[in-house]
Amino acid sequence: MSIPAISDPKWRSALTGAEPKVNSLATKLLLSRLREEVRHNPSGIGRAAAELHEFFANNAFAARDLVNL
Amino acid sequence: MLNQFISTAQAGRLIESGAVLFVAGSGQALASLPKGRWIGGSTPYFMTPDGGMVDHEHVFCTVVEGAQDMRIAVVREDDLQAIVRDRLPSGFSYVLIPAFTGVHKRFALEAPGLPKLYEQPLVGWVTGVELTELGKVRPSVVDGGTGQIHEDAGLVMHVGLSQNVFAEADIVNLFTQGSGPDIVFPETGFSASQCEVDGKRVDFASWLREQEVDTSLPLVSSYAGAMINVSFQALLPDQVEFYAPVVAGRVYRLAAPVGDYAEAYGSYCTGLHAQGAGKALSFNCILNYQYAALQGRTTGGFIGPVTFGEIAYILLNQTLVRLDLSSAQLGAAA
Repeated sequence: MSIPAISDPKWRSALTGAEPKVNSLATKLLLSRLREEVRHNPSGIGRAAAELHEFFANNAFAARDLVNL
Repeated sequence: MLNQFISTAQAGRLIESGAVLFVAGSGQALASLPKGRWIGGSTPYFMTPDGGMVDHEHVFCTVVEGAQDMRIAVVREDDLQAIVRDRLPSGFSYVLIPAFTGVHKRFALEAPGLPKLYEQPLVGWVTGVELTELGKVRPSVVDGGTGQIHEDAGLVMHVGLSQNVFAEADIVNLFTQGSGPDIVFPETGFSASQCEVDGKRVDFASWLREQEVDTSLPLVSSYAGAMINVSFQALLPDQVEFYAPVVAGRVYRLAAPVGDYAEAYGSYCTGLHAQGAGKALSFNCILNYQYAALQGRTTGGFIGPVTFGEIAYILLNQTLVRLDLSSAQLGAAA
């Protein structure tokens, strides 16, 4: 599975833009938590984007959600 | 998964066959089982093919078909990391936590932020006792490997599956957000006195009374599309208590009315049956059992233990959690 580089703007966009429509419960819960964190602390977006990237890089089951970010 | 509501003698034979098992039963039923590859949690409430019942003699066993390996770890209040530590590759984890304990509260508050929590399916439930025994008997969990009973700590079983088997955790929720106002709490916790209702600060308990809110219906928040409930425990004069924590800053709404709760629940379970719920690992909430008056009632759908809180990565209320095992299709997904 090809994962966009951590520098790809889609990671930050998923955390601050329109809420992506994802399918897996794990992705929904993680994405929601990270978006809340960034909303309360915008300066933490780099760390949150890295966590989201790592989640997709490590978990093949989340691949179907990647196209919706 | 093979779900069976059976006698302790039958469960003992399953255990002695070497099967990997999750067991639900009364404290005394669990304590009577032989050692083996299982963990168990206390509840005397079950949904069986014959309907909802309270039973202290039988146990509900789920055989994990396709389990290649397993590890059991104790989850203490000061070591929630045990939930994600030492997981097995290509597997899932099953956690049991006694209700009304420090580890229960800490899990509710801190699990959502556990590093790598979402990287493998985690399902489980909060163990309980018969409601008439609250305060006299303590909820417990049993480590089948050692026979040890815990009342102040949880247990997790990490299960390794064969490489062609794929586990997926999901939830099925009867409730959706209603069309009422947005409710936002200033602090995270199991109780609240103040909140904002559509941006206006109010005394939450007074507001609920003024609005004549039906507190058998939960608060619902959307987690990127996943509807997550927080159930009302008590409406006190100046405070509201919940069965799971509300999260500061998150937008909640009262659940949309479901009409006749029992009837809505029956339809919902029938729908689940059509989706193959009988072969999934699943458990449902004591509040649904109470509010839908399920004792003695056959829903034709969901079977499994009735629990004091459900876990699918995080603590849930009034929600059915299920774990399905299927042949891996990851290549196609990728």
